[in-house]
Amino acid sequence: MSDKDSTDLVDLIQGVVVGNYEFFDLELNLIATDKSVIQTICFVRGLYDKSGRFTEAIITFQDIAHQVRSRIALEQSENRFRVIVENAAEALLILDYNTLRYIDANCSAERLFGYTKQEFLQLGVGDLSPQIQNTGDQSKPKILQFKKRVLTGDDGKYEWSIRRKDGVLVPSEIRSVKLPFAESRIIRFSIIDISDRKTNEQLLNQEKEKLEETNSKLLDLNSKLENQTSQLKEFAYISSHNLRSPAGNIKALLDFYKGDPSTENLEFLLEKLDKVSDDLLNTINDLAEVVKIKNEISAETNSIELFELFERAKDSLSQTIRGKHATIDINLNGISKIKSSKTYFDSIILNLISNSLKYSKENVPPRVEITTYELGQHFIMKIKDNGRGIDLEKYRSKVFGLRKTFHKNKDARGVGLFITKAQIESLDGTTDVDSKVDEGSTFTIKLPVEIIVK
Amino acid sequence: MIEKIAIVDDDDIFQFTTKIKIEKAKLAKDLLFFKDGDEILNYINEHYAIGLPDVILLDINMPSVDGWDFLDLYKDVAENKKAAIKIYMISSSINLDDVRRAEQSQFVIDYITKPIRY
Repeated sequence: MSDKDSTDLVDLIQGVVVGNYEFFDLELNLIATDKSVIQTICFVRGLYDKSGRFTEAIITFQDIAHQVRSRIALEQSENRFRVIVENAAEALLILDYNTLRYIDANCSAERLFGYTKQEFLQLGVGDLSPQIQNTGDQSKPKILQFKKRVLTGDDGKYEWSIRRKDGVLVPSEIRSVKLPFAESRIIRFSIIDISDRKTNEQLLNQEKEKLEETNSKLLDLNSKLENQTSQLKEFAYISSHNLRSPAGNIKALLDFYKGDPSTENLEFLLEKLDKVSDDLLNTINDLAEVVKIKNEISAETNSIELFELFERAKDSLSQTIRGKHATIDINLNGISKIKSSKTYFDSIILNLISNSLKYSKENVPPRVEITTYELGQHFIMKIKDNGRGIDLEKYRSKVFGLRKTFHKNKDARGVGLFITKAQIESLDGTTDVDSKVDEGSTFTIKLPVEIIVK
Repeated sequence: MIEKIAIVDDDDIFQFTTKIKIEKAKLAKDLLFFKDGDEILNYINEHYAIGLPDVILLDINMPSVDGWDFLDLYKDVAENKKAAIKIYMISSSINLDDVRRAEQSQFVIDYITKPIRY
């Protein structure tokens, strides 16, 4: 053995001999005859007589080369893992889940949180999170919940807001796992800063919202355009039929007079021209009225008492009601007031009720039932009569057209429902008709539910 | 000269001026007047055995049964009663939709816009 080992051994044996201690062990490198070194542990135990005097010593040597190799390998392996853990991109924290305190952290954790390893050891659950998460959850109870899940073997992965030493909150993704040691009492948290991802998500969401907004604007615009196109077509149709017709008549009458310009024919011509010009004026006035309704972006809004609305219509029609022995039943279903255009509603109700009275069956007293109610997103008003009805198979497309009549009444001008429809549409509503010949008609008006005053 | 022309139009000024024109041109021996599709259909149903008009001048825009309705209803009459009346649509409308629709009808010979020129 080396001189140093030899001196150490002699010194230590001296201690046994004088009785300072009864035994010791020492690592010794023995040199064999072939000069190779044998790593050993040398155990020395002193033996003493009854009076305590040293008598002899037992010295054994154990070859420990194998253990040393394993120990070095283990140390190297531990060091390797340490290096891997220390240099991992994600922050790693180890929590003792009995004491709920952190017992280890890597360099990334130091960088992310701003605490040193020593400082981490003073911290426990909840110290690295704000009191309340973005989701509104309290942090600590939530962590304990996660802990419970992790302990039952679930791999927890969740987004979490962490609080750094300087108080700054960082959006993170945390994975926690109960470490698979035999007597494991530790949970490993790996924490990744996802600020960038969050920012990108936010930007993406903002873009998405913008796109959705643009899309809904486009859809809105499209429906407005469609609406205007259909209105343009309607006006093209009206101008083609209703305006060209009297103009053509004037031309035809003048041709007739030029062909035979007698005094008698002049008088006839003037009489007819008078009629045609009246006709033309009426049509133009009707059109102007409708254009006015369609151009008014929003009609003036008033508070309308429904009961009074129907009373006013009944007053205006009182002569007909008396004359035809008509009854008008009103069921408001608790809706007493709406917010809408009083002018339009007066006109709409008057027109629909007067139609019901006008087109009643002969010798049957007209009965008009008016019902209002709320249905989903709509305020609904139904006006039902027991009149002659309309053959909808033939006339559905004409019910709300200008100058369309389907009853041979002398006073039917075919203007009312055209205007009524325009007024309802300008209030964002729709109108529909259901009818059977000889059984009666029901006109249904649907308006946004918001107009109901509660 | 045509035997019988029927004018189907609710506009009495058109009826009158057209009557003058037809008389001046000596186009027809006999002229019949109807206010809407319903009236002429009734007439056809009652007279198909005795003698139908040879020509119908048919307006589009009329109360109750209008020109288009008449064409739909006339289909049955033409098939069941072998009626073969020459139908001219005469309307103020210069709307292309109307013109095309008339061209597509198997019974319409021609589409003429008002006022009629000669």
